[in-house]
Amino acid sequence: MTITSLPFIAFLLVLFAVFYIFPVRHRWLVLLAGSIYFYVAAGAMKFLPFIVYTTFVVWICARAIGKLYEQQDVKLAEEGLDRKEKKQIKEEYKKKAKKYLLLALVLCIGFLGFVKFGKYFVEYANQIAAWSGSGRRFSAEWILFPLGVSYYTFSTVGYILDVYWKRYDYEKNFFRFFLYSIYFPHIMQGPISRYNLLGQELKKELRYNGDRIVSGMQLMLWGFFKKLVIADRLNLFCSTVFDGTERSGFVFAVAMVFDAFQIYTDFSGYTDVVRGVSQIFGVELEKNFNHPFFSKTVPEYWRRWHMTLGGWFKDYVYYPCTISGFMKELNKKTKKSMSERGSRFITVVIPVFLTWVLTGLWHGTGSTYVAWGVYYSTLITISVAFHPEFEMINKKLKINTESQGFRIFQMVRTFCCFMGGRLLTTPGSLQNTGMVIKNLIFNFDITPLVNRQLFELGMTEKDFLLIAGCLVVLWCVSMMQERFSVREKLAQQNIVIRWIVVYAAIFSIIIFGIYGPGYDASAFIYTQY
Amino acid sequence: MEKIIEILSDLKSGVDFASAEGIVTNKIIDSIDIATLISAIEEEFDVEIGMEYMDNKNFDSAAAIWEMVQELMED
Repeated sequence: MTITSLPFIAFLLVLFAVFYIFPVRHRWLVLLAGSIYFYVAAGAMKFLPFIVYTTFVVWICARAIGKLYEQQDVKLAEEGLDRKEKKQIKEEYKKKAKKYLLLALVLCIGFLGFVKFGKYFVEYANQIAAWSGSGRRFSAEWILFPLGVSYYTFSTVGYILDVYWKRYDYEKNFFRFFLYSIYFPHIMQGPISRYNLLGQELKKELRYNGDRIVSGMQLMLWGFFKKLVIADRLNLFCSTVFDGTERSGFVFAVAMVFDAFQIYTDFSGYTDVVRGVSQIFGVELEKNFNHPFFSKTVPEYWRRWHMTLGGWFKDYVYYPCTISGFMKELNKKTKKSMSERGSRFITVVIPVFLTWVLTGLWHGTGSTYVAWGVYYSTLITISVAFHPEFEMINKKLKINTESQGFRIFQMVRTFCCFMGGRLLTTPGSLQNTGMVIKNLIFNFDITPLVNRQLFELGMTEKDFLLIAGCLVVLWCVSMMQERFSVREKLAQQNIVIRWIVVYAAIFSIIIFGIYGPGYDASAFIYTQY
Repeated sequence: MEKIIEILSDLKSGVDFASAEGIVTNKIIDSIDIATLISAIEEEFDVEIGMEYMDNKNFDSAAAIWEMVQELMED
């Protein structure tokens, strides 16, 4: 059951009815039962023990940490303690709490690492066996990749780190925590939630609110439009083009632009649908996209694209690395031995590279994803380290950096950087990437456009026109969303306009959407992570 | 407080940090600036900023940063 299937719509209708029949205080239990059903119906019955395992390990360890801090507070409240004694008590309890934190991290991140990288270890073992002359071969087929494992592991690990850092209190009820972990709108593709946000949303009184339900359904429609009309149509072209490496560079260039819009509409479309679904039940999920193609720089781009993943890595990898003892020592040493700028460069480079290589590995385990991580670390480091030089060049060339033209240039540049990143992973291997680049440079032939072969690669001429129209709609809506809430504005219009917009969305999805039995394109790209 | 404003001004020119609010929330300074800011604060005030303090609200204005520094110095 995927979220673009009819069984999902049927599931939603049943869940909606049961949810609002139940008394308010028990509605979270309906969501829990519905979420377990959704996970099992998505074909993940065999993976259910794994999500229970991760959730339970994190919950029990966070509970132990929370209880230690409660004991610490009792001790600190005792009268007559001086600052030194208080510090000692804090250190003592922190040390104990750290053991539980490390246990949870080893068991959960270790498990995630195992299911992601296990097959590589098996491959290495087979290579060693072959090299040593042993005829033995190991199979990697038994290593399963549980559905949503990257998402629920990150959501739960973020929670235990927050408890350890005393950002908020631990959750006492396991089932409440399990709902946070398995909550069906975010289990497959995120957003990667924070317990202080989603956990609290799920705890509040989930009352019926007609306006909110209508607003949620509108968001779902917009998400379906992006996914079924744009992303799945572009997929027909992109998958055909990137299936081979011997094509005109012009065709690859068109496919690269389409691929960027495909992944954006696929992933942000999914997020809109699940955020809309969640709003129907009165639960607000975090935003995951903020019109990334309007970004003027690469760092800004990553603050607007897959925001919950970027936020997770910033808070739980980048900052801990930046303020770690190792980095502080390094900072001191480099300050003594290097110029201030050189020292700053070193202290920026290490956490940025670590964060981005890990972000790459989160997306995939092959060398293409390591290259992807290195690519973004390099871009971000360059933009930070050479900022003074870039400013100087702009000044010398008398470029008005505040002009509209320069802003458009910056957006196009950022978009090109994003396509560069996609080029490392989309063709499937670095060798294929090399072939595509070779064709882009040495074989940029527009004949496929002249002899119309371009329209025989999964998308017809009419599809191209439809996509052009859809991208204009996408651009207009995005521009409006940058300025105001489109759904709030729509709610202020009279009933005729409201229904015209809603019907237009429904019929465009029905008429132009790519779906139906046997059609596989509606699988979402980010589910594989 | 003046020292905090001075550090912030070294980090980003053209911003009146004495009155600016929401400097992290409104993306006036980013995560890389925060890393540099932490290093400068630790050196200047001889304090150690742990992960417990890595919250946007502690860095959102010069006053908030100063409040955090005072708390750390008392610890």
